[in-house]
Amino acid sequence: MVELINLVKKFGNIVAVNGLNLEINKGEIFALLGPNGAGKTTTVRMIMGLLKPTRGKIFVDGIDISKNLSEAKKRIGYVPQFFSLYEDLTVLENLYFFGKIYDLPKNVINERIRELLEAVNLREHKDKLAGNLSGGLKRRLSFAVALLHDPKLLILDEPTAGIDPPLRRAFWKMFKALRNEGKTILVTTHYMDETEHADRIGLISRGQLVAIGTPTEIKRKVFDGDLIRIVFRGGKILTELNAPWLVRLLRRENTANGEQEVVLIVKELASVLPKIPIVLKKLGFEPILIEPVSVTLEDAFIALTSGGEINVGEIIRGYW
Amino acid sequence: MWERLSAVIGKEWRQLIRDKRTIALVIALPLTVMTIFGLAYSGDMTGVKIALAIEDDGPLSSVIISEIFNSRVFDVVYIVDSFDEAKYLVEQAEVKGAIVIPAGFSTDIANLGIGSMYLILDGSWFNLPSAMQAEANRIISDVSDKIALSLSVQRGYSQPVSITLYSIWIHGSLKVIDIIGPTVMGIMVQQVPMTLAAISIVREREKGTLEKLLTTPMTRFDLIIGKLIPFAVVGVIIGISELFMVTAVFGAINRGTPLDVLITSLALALAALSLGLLFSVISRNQLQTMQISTFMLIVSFLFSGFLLPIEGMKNEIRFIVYVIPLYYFYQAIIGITIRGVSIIDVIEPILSLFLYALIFLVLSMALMSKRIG
Repeated sequence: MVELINLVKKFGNIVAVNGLNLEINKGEIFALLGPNGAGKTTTVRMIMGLLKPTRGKIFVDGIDISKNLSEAKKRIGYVPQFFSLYEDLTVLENLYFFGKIYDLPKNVINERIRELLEAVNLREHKDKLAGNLSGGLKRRLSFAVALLHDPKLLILDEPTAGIDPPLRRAFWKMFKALRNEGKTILVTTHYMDETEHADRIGLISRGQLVAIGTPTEIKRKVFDGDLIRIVFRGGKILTELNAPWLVRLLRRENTANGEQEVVLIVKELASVLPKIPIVLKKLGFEPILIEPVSVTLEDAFIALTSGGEINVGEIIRGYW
Repeated sequence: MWERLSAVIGKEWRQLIRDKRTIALVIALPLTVMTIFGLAYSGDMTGVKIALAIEDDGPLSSVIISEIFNSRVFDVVYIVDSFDEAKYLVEQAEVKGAIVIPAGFSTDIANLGIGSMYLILDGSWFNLPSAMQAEANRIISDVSDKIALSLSVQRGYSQPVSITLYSIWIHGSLKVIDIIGPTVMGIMVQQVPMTLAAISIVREREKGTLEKLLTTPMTRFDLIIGKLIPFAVVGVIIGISELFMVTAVFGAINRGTPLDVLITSLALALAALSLGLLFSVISRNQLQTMQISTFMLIVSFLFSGFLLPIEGMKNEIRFIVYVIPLYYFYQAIIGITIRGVSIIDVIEPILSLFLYALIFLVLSMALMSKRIG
């Protein structure tokens, strides 16, 4: 649905986006995740035609936007980072205005507005001035406006920044519902946790794509596998372990009561988990605890963007 | 208390000098206005277009004629044979005034030492007639002395010569409000819509609504023309109410039809709006836009010719009047309200306003497309 090819954007000496290659598939929720200043908004603005790329190509639904931006615009619904509708117009007036801007016939506008006010729960506020709405209601109005012309692609720039968790959850529910209707959704965010809901994530740092994949794939990428923590008793000190499913033994520690604790990286958690007690018993150990270590996207993110070593202790301590 | 006060002073000062573009405007505007003013008006009045009617074919009138041609103030564009022709030219606003040397001038002076001349003045130009009178009086006084001297030499005795200048006014009964009133109305018709337009796009930029608009199929044409039309309506409403006030309430004369005045106002409003939209496209924030609008107001007062005659401006600087919409309006409105001519007779400045609007609208659209990046 969206294809970015070797996209570069420079502002003077500052390189905001540095050779970004990215493909967003039809019908997925794609989260562009990165810290502030990573180049997310710049990328989105280039896709919207608001900024001209220094180099590179952008295709939206197969359309080269440098050649036919106006055609591309009709396929995109855009929700900018900050509220950008008319505060001195009412909810309804804003919706009508943008409906007309998109050249929709009058009966279609009326129909869409009725549906959307229902969908985003704004019907009782329809005659209020947009400027008098709360932050959450303003976002909902922005969604409704972006969806008016029934775009194939919805681009939301930091849609959940600064809103409370229940509303964030509601928004993601809405994104999923829209995806299930067949729309493609591109969301930028710097909240790692919420991207668990995305179908795929692109991790962006300093204008470059650091990792791309499903949330599980991203986490797996950090250690080249999944983490398992095992606590056991007895036998000699476990320093070596040979098994085809093992990537490596990450850490070993003696704990109280003569127990040992190891953290293993395995290729694929689900198939390995039942095998572990058997292996341990064969080696003469008595397993006490076998549990997967959940790596959060935040851990993965910090590991991938810092470029340095990941502090495993730090990760595991969090789930002790 | 002093601590708090100094904190506020320090903060304001820092904020003031931090925004380089705004501080440049704040300092540059007053300096620019004074520079233009000084350059424009530091010389003498020149090039006032007049007609010269020579009814006298005696030898003495040639002395006067050459003195008039030597004047830097007067620019003789017509030479006619009679008072009536000269008066007609003034009435038609072909010239700002006329000097008439009446029949018998030379003989009267030669025989009696007394002569008279006529200065026909168009009273509809503010501040100009008095300057013309002063120059005509200077010429007459110089010429009297010269003639007296040459007659004395010829005759061998002192011959006093006295020439009386009679001023004849066209539109002489006009009050200040008759002359200035319509143009003050023009200032409102220029400034109010221009400021509205100037703020409109920059406000959309500041509020972020422009970014949203630019991601829709809306074109620059839609945006610029869509803003132009309602503001032009405001301009016309201002024109109507100002015209009513200045004529019905304050008694200024209007010899033209209200419709002609309104068309002229509309032309001015459109030109001013196109200029305002250009300001809006090139400024970064509302403060800058307001500064430019204020600049335009001052410049319009000083350099459009309605308070200070354009003839008082140096030739090299006179081009500035052509970028001020009010100049064209002033040229047209004087014809309509005072001379009572129809809009067709002053179509040139009005078409200039429409052309002006067109040029600046196209320029605004072109510059706006650059701004999208």
